[in-house]
Amino acid sequence: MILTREVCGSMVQRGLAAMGRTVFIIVIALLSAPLILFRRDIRADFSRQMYVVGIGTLPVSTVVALFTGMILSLQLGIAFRQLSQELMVASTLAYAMLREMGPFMMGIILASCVGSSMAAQLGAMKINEEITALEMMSVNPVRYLVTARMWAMLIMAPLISFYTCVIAFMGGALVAYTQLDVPFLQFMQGVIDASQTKDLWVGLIKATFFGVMICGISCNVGFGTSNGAVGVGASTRRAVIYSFLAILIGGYFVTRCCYAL
Amino acid sequence: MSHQPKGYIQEVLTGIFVLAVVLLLGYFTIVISGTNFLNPTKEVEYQVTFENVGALKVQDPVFVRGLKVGSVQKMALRSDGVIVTFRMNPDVQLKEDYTLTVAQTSLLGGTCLDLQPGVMETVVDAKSVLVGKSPGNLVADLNDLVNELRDSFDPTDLHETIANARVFSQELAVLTQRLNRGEGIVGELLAPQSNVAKDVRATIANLRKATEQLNTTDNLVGQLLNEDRTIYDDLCATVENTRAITTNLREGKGALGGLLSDDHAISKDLEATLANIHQFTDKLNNEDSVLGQMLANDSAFMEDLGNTAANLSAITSHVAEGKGTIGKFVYEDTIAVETEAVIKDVRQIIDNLRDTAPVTTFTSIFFGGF
Repeated sequence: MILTREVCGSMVQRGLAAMGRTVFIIVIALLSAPLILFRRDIRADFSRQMYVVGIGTLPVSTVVALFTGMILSLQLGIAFRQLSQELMVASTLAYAMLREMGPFMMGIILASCVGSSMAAQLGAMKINEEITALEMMSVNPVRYLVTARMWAMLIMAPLISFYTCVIAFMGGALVAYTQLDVPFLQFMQGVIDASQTKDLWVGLIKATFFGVMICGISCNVGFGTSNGAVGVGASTRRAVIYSFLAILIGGYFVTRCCYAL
Repeated sequence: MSHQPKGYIQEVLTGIFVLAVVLLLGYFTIVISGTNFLNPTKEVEYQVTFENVGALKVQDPVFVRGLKVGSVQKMALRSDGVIVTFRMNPDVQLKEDYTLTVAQTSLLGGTCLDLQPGVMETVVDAKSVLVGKSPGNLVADLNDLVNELRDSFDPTDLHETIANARVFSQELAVLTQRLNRGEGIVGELLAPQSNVAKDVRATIANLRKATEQLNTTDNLVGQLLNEDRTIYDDLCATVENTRAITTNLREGKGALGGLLSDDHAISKDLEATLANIHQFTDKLNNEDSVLGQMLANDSAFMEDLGNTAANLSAITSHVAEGKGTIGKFVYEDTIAVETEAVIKDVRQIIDNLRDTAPVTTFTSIFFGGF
């Protein structure tokens, strides 16, 4: 019993410490934004991270968003056709994508592609004691390694989220045109009519929040890597899992804050 | 491009992606905010008050005959309702008999402003505040209806109603069977070769012929119905004359007008005469007067008068028969002659007395003194 209590207490303690470290990393990285402007090496890293986060995930985002839109349109079309309300597919898809599915899918893609990569990179550097070397040179590893990643994620996450939504709308319109006999322009007009400015901006804020969380969690997991190559793999897995949890839990609270019942 | 370092190409691609998505995001934001950025039109802004707007919200469409002509811009709560501002295509003009309703776009939700521009000639000024009809709550109305039905229907009444409906359906079946057999007037009418149907067809043919004749000007009714100006003019003249006569009567002109007017002498005299007649007839009704007694039933005076008349009749009959002195006097000359002689003798005696009166008087006085 005492052992169980000690184990649980230790897990809670470690969890709280990890959250604290994550918040600490996020704050330090965000406050270090001037480094991107004034230091060439960090600026170059920032540019590279922008490419990795944005262009690197673009094929995956496109395919995932396209088929998500097609699936949603097909499923909704089957339901709405019974009510002869095929055009309602457009408005429902607009609600779903802008409010929740766009940021959520973006978060899943970034956590899988970019978050895991960050955790692996930083984990490898930790294993190779590169981070220790930076600390020995009085270089703050968070400012040096995380700032560019954090700001790249912060900027690209909402853009990828919106891109995901647009591609999903097109996929939905494609299915609506071929399966439900709804013209493409009419479908897009239905999407525009159903879209609200608040939905769009809340979705973008949510995507930004997810991006920051994914980067913070992945970098924290990467910094905490130990046990060699096995540890790097474990860190990658943990980074993805924790990022998913953060997306789901954080997504609920952001939605709750922005939309009152 | 191939001479450029790999990092430079990545930066360019990233820049293109960011720029494209930001531009798309900006355009999407502008479009969904309701601003037609690429094709700006001068929309007219209207304000309308509603007691209740239901689920209406900003950016909801404004429909005219099913076409979107504008959108809701803003809504504000007032003490007496909600004032809604919407913009609309300037080609749509609101007339005085417009109607503006908050309607549902489908049963699944969604609201819009349904506008009926109206057909009257007067155009509503865009600056004036319009008045809209509040939406009905379908669910609440149905709930009320069901509750009222439940309250008004007793289960016993419901059973009775069902039993009546069953009887009614049975009677209806019997009725339709009779109709199919061609029984009754309606049945005969429905039968293909019935006499009643033939009569009805003949009647309709006669009616058609009559109406055709009415359409011609060969008869008076046809002339009246087919715009014969002469009869119409005569009627108009007659009406005009009647109007002139009634006008004169109203103004008190002429004897009849004077009679009808309140302040004319003739009418006053007539009123006085009528009053006198009234007074006279009152007295006639009164049995104190002679005529009243004469008119009264069971009057003693009338009895006396009857008796007197009978006596007079008897006397006159006697006189006519030459009976009695007067009868003889009337019908026989001798009495008249004798009477005349007596009268002459009496007159002579009187003359003699007048002549001898002074001597007689003197002699009386002379001998009276002794």
